[in-house]
Amino acid sequence: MSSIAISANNLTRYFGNTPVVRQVSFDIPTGTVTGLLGLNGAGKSTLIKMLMGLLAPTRGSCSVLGVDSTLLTPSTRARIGYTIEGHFAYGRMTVRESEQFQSDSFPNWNPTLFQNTIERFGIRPTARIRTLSRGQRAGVSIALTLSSDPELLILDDPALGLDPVSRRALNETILEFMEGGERTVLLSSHLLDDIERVTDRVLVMVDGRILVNSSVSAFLERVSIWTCDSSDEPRHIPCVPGLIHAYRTGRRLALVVVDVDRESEAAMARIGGSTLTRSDSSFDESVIAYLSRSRSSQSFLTKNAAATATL
Amino acid sequence: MNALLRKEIRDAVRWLPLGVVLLGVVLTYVCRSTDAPQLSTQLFTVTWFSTMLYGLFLSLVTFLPDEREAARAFLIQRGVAPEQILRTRILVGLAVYGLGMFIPLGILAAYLAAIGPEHSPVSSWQVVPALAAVVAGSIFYFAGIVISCRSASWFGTRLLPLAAAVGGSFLSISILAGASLWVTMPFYILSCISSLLMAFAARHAFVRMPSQVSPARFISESLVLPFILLASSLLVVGALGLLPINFVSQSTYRYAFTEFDKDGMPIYVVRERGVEAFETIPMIDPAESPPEHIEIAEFGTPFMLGLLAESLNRFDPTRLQVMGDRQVFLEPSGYLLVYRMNQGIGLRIESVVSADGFSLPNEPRGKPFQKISLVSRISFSPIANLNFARPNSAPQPSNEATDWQLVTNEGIWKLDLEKRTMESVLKESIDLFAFPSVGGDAKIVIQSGDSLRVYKRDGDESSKFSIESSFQIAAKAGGFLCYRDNDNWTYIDGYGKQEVFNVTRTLAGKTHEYAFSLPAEAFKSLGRVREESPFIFAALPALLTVGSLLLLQSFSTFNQFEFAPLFLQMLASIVLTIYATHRRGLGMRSTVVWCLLAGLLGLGVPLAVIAIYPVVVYETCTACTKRRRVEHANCEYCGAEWDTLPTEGIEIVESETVKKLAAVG
Repeated sequence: MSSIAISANNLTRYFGNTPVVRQVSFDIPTGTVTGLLGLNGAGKSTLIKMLMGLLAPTRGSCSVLGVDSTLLTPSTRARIGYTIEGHFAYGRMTVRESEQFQSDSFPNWNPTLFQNTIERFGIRPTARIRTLSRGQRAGVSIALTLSSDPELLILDDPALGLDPVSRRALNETILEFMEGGERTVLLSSHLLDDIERVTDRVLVMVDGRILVNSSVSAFLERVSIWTCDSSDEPRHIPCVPGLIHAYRTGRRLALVVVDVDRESEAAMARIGGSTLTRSDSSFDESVIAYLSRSRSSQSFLTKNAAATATL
Repeated sequence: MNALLRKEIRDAVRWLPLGVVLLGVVLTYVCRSTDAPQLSTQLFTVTWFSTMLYGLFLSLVTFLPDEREAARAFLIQRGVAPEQILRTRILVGLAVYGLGMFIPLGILAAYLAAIGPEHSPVSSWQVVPALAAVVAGSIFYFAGIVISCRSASWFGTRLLPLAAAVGGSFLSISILAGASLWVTMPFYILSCISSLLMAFAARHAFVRMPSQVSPARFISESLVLPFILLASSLLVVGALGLLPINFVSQSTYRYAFTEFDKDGMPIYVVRERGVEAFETIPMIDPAESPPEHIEIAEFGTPFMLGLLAESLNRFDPTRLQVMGDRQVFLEPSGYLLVYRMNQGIGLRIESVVSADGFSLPNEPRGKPFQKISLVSRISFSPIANLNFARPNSAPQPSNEATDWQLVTNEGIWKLDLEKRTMESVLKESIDLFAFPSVGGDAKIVIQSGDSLRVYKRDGDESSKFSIESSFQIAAKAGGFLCYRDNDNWTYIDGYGKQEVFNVTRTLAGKTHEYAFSLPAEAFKSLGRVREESPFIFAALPALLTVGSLLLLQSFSTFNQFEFAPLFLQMLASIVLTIYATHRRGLGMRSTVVWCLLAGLLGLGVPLAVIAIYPVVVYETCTACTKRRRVEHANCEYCGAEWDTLPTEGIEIVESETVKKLAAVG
């Protein structure tokens, strides 16, 4: 078994004249759960489609389970579980027929796991897919993916439409799935809590680029949040080395900074003076700071939506 | 695979009734409104249209939904090869398509077999061309897959493969052509091959592995799809270019006729619109001096000798004659079917005529006729009323059922439809046969090999003939005879549009044979008189235009040709192709190949380049400032790699950690 489950090398994809994924390079080791985070349109799904060999890269290359993604054979595909964004399944089929449709194509099919999963979502096997709620459909989709007993699990926004209980169940399932230590999960999601809970590593995509490729612990260690009293508008604050994002919370100005050193600390002191204090950094605030670089996180009602600063 | 098969069956079978109903309704209408002799043609036509509609519809409704991003990902991401998935889908799709078309045709064939030949001269054999159309029409099913799976704009070139499908399937119409199997079958086989090619193109469009990205070179992994797109482009441009010709063309035609002067000398007459004498050329021996004055007059009785032929229509009966309440049909198998209209019950078969005589419908038939004459004095019918060919004699009462003669390769027979008897009038081998072209006595001319025999009627008996003259000629496949008596006749071997004629003239018992060459100017003046519209040269590929010209000139030299529009078209094609290949970022070698093709095939080529190759995206190279292609790792001008994206100072990349993790493994 290859020690690198997923690898991308200068992976680039254009749609028309627009580069949607730009020179992305990363390796995902076997036996890890990696969270893929990014705003809508950041290129996450395009990246996953290229990894799955469903979309040709414009430039660069990628491989999964040691096989070039553009040359994936049926036997390699059978080792990969892929939950498609939107939880696609054939609406005319019943849940049982969907299972038969999938089990025919995956040699390691686990019918018990499928049965258990759909029971957990309260789905009858005889129900037609088109009659299911969005959450139930998501449950069927996850059941169809997990029951193939894959070595590599690629989940594209699997929690979409799931209720909190089902979300937790999904997280538990992923952790259970990883118990052997030889499997790998790439989990794309907007739900930062879930990502923090189940992932070892995190990839943050901003405007088609990977800005963060790190373990969750290292990520939290290197990103820090500082607050101070300042009347400056976030977009007018002077240059701070390593500043990811600045935003205002009431009268306090929050500065999210990576790899704080003396220089950046001095620069922040010039803004906040003695009121400058280091706050507890959280995973979601750190990630949002990265994601806010390409889009404002201010209220939609705020007149000047560019009231936050990214330097 | 079973589940996939079940899914495909479920997806496709629900559209089966639509095909059955569509073709069933159309066939019902055709059978109610079409006469038996045209039935196979009509069935073929409506079936062809139905295969186009149903084949396309079926593949679009089964393939398009699965081409949505999520649906395709769900279908492809499994332990089954895309080729295998496609094979299953095509297997089911073709089965449904075939059933949708064959069920109504099968029912129709059974119906025709049930009513024919008792009630009507129809047979299930007439459905065969339509069945052939269904097989060739499978190209529309495959074209629908190509259209569904090829990524192109609906308002651009997405529907382009349809043109190749129409063109390919249209070749199957050759099966109806009145020609030998050696001529028609290659065209039909070509039609089936085009369907097979479309199937390969469909495979390429469906499977479309990311490694098989759209070809950036002329030699790509699959040449079939580019070939289909090229053929489609040529057909579309050709059709659009030829369309205006009907509106601008005002051509008239000149034809050649052979007549004789008062001394029996043949005269070559070129007539415009078939009436006005445009040119009159005496067909004299080159050794003779031309006559000062030509006086066209009756030297004798003119005969135009026609070959006896097999029935060229292999599927339909030919209606030979309507005689009162009787109708006579020639079956493709060589039997004459005599029908009688009965009040109340309609048409009913009365008897069958074979070379061995009459038989009742339910009796065993005799030997079929091999060849019959399709030329007669009164109509293009092998059954001729010889009484009619006696203008100088008083009109005689004619019994419609008893006074008919049949000319076959074994002789001439007198038929009595009432008594169902067949009496031999002349029993000898006949290759060519002629009644007098104009006037004359009741004479007939028969040619067998190089022997020409003139028979005259005995007295008033229409069925008694005796030989009057017999002479030897070096004839080939028919020609003109002008006959006065055994010592005075002229024979020209051949018909109007040829350059050299062999003439045999016998005057006062002295025979003179010579070859007459038509003046080149007279020959060239034949055919289409006015110049072709330049549109035709702007529409047809240069290769086809020049090729057909060369082919034509190997047979004759009468056609005029204007090269200027052709060269203009070639020039425009090459310029547009250079532009298109540049826009598509093709290399020099590919551009040269496409330009050569453009010179040969015309304006369809630039359209094909646009359809085959995707638009290329360029960005400015930071090293050499030239526009470089984004899909290449290195600049094609300076070889520079892409610049690494500028760092913002906030990146967190733990590649070392990953390596350690991987090493731990």
